[in-house]
Amino acid sequence: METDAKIVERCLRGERAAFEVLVDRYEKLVYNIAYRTLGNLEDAADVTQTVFVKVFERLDTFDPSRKFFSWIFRISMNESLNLVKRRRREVDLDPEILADDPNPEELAAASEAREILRRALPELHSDLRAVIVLRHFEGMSYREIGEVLGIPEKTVKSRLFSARHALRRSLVRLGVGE
Amino acid sequence: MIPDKMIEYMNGEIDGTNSDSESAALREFLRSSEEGRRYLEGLRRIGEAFEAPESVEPPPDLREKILASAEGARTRSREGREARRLLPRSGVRSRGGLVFSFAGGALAGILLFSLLTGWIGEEARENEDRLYGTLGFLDMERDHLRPLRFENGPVVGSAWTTVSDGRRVVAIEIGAEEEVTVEVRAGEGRRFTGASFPKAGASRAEIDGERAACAVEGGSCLCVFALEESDESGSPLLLTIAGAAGTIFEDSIRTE
Repeated sequence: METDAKIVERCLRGERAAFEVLVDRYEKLVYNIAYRTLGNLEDAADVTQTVFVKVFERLDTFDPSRKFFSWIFRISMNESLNLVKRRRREVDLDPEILADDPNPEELAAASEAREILRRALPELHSDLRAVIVLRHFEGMSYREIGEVLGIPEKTVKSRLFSARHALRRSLVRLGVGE
Repeated sequence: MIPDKMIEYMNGEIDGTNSDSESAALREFLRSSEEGRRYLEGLRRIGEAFEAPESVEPPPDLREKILASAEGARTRSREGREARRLLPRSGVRSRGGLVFSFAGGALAGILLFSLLTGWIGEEARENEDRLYGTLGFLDMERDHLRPLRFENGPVVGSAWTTVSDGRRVVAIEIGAEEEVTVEVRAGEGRRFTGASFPKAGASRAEIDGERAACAVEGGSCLCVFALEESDESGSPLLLTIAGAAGTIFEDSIRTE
């Protein structure tokens, strides 16, 4: 299979078909990162479009010695989180739905925690956000995360623990948990 | 206070990486620690909140929209280049731009060199005075800037940041029982331009694009890094303090 770096080279030479290969390879990944960050399919589609336009416009800044995955991943995270910041909104729980659920209070608390954590995610430094997303959204192991981000496994663990610690503080500060 | 080892085991429990003996040790600890049980519950909520059952397929028309958007960007770029080609050439300006870039880089280099070596010329002194002036401001405003406070193992201190005179300054006040490294990462699009240590105790400053670091020899020290921001995203900065055995503390310094 052709490497990402080779495909980028071809894109920079003006080959339209090469860019289509990049889209085919990474469309689903970018879409899912956006969806899991934003929780909304329409927003995820918008962000995915924006990400690929940015990739196209900035392709000449990509360093071929780094992993393309890491590069597009960071652009996806940044664009998703920029939209989170622009669209901060309250969770609107439908009381009728809750009334039918056997554990409405638990459901409400879980939903509230999810919303708080989505809002807290942009507050993390990008290095901490990256490990959280790769671990929880993409289900990667410490070793895989280390390979993607180019950092030792020990650093992955350390950043993951720090990120969770910070997110946990957000939950406690806003009265969910403890 | 939860021991670091137990926090490590709790994270391992969430990630499914604990050995049998580690899980057993954690269970033993949790039996008598309500604080530990609450902490673990908080971690579980994080795992549950971010868990997606499986990947979602993008809508079938998204690929065509992406390619159409990219084609639009390609057209705009070509039109822009064409427009610039038709404008009168401004070779002097572009050469001037290169000269200014080189001079700016040289000035930053001179400043950093003078700060690091203690040699202070007239211009470097003026820049250092500005940093000290900023420090005075920081000193007065510290309590209003929501500093990040930390106390972990051999280190204690606080970190805060503000914009003064058109550039961002990050200050880390640290007391350390052993030699540690202090590192601040600013993220994409931002660049550190200088460092200053008004009190003794720090050395080996490294300024490298989005990363600034120094060694703190133990005792009390104030590290100040100057940042040239090219965006207004308000993204936090990442502070990492590490000792010989690894990371001691890591957290975000808020910028807004």
